[in-house]
Amino acid sequence: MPTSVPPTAEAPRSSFAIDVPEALLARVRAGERAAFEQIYRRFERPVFNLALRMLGGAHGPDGVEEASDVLQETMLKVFNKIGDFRGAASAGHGDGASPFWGWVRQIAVNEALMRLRGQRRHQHDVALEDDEFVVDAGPLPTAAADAAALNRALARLPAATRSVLWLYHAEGYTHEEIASLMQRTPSFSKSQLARGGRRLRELLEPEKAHA
Amino acid sequence: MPDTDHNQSPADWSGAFAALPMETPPAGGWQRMQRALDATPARRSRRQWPMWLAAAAIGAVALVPVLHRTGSDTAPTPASNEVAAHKRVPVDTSRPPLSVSKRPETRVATTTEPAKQTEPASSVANPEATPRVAAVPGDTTPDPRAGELHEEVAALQAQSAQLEALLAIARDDRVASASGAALAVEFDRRIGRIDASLSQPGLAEVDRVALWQARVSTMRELAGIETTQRWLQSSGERYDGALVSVD
Repeated sequence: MPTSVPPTAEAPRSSFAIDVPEALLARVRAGERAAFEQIYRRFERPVFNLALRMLGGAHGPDGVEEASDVLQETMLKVFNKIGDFRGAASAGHGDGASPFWGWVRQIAVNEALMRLRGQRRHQHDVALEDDEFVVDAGPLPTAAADAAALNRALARLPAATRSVLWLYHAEGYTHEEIASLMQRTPSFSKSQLARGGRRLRELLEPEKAHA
Repeated sequence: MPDTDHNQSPADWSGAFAALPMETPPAGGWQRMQRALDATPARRSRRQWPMWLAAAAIGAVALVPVLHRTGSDTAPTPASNEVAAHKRVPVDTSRPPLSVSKRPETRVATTTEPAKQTEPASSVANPEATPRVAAVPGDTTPDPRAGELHEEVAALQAQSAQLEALLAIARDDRVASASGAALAVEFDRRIGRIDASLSQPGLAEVDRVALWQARVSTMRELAGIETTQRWLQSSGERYDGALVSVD
C-alpha cells in the first residue's frame, strides 16, 4: 500500500568509509607520490563503482571508460586540493570534522554529476518537483537479489533518478544533502526516490506491473 | 567466490544495492594517473576557447532575447549591492562539503594498514592554504540581513528552476550545430563548477547569493543560445560561420 516516504532509520554503510592514517595524509600533502598511490589504491574501487552506478554504465565499454575518467579526475583533484582539506583523517577523530573519505566521496559525486550535466542526461528529469511522494512499501521483488537483473533495471532509469537512488540508498545521503549536491529541492530528491523505487519494482516484476 | 548472497533476499533497496558486487576499474589506472600527474602543469593551459565562438554566442543571444530580466534584477536591493562587492567568488569543485551524510551514521571500515601515528595531527589545518569561499574571514559573524539574503537566494533558485525547465524544452541535440553544441557544453561545465561551489559547507549567505546570481546569469545565456539555435533551425537558417566570415 502506498505510503509517504518514511524516514530511514539508519543510513547504509558507504563503500567509501575507509579510515586513513593522519601520517599518510601528511605525506600526501607534502607531495609524496608513493603516499598518494596508497590513497589511490584504497579509494579507486569505491570511486569507480560510484561513477559507474551514477552514470549508468555498468554494461559496455563506454560506461567503463567514462567511469575511469571520473576516477582519474577525482583523484587528480584529491591530489591537487588536499591542502584545502580541513577535516580529519578518520571518522573517529577531529571533533566531528568531516573524515577524509567523505571528502573524497564528495569530489567523486560532483565529478559524476558534472559529467551527467555536461552530457545533458538530466534534461528529461527537471519537471518532477511536484511529483507525489509515495512509495510502495511492500517487500522487495525477489529479483532485487539478482545482481544482474538489478543492474539492468538501474541502467534503464533516468540518470537523475538513478543518481538519487544510489546516493540515498547506497551512500546514505539525506534528501537535503542530495538536493544541495544536485542544486534542486529536497522535494525533487524525494519524488525521484519515490518514482525510482516504483520504477525499479516494475522493471524487476514486469508480470505484476502489467497484471 | 560470489560477491552476493543469493540465499537471502535483501530487506530493502539499501540492502539490495549493498549486495551488488563492487565493480573493479580497468588495470593500469595508477599508471594513467601518474601520467596525468606528470602532465598537470601542462594541463593548465588547455582549452583556449575560440574567440569567434564566443562572439558567435554573443551575437546569437542578441538575435533572439528570449529571456528578459525580471523586476528583481533591475531593482537591486541593498543586499544585492553587497553581493556585487563579493562577486568573483573563486569557484572550487573540490570543497569538502556534505562529505558525510547527516543521516544516522554508520560503521566505518577500519583501515587495512594500521600505520604508526608518529606525526602530530596538527597538519590537518593549513592556514596557508588557498582561501576558499567557505573560509572567508569575517563571514562567520551573523549577518543582520540574513533574512533578506535568504529571500534573495530563494528568488534566484526559483528563477534557476524555471530556466532549467525552459532548457529541457528548448534543447534538441539532434539538430544542434557543432559550434552551438560545443558552446552549450562549455556553459554546462561552467554551471557544474558553480554548483560545486554552492555545495561548500559554511558558505556565507552573501557568497551564496553571488553564486546563485552567477548560476542564473549563466543559465540565461545558455537558454538564450539554445532557444536561438532552435529558432534559427526552425526557419532553416544557421549563422555558425556568418559572424566570422567576411566574404
